[in-house]
Amino acid sequence: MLPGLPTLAASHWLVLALKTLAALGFIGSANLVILYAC
Amino acid sequence: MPAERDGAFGYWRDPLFLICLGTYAINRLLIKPNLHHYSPLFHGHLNDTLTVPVALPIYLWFYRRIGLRPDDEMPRWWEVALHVAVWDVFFEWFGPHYLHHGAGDPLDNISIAGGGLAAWVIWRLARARPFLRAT
Repeated sequence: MLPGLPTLAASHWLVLALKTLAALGFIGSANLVILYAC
Repeated sequence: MPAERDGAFGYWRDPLFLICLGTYAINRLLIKPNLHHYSPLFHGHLNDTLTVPVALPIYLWFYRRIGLRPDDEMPRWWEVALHVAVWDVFFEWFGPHYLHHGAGDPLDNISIAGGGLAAWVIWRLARARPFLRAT
């Protein structure tokens, strides 16, 4: 945990980072499906 | 900033998405197998033109499910433009150069962008006309 950074803010950024990672994974996978299947 | 209205965009129930998905299926299952010569339209540009209206609602639905998209508004111009940019780079540069699949062609970029622009205009029009939206 970063000293001085509120727990809520840190968890907020962590959740946002995980969601962004999930979106990037989805984008990469879906783009590959479109590229090879269409 | 005006309040966003919920329930405007139907994602997989969106009429434009369903019409374009049907067009893609007809081209894929009925037209292409019966063509005896290569057709730039049916083998290439039509699919590229349908990329945004068919794929974007599915992508936006996923973002909504994981909470990255805050509402169910019709696709915004920057959502369309950002995805067109990513698809242009992925399909016309990354795919041909690094995956050795597909061929980079500027006309493909124009087709994807043109389809995206047309879809955005139709979604904007549907936004003002509730009978054009999925309910």
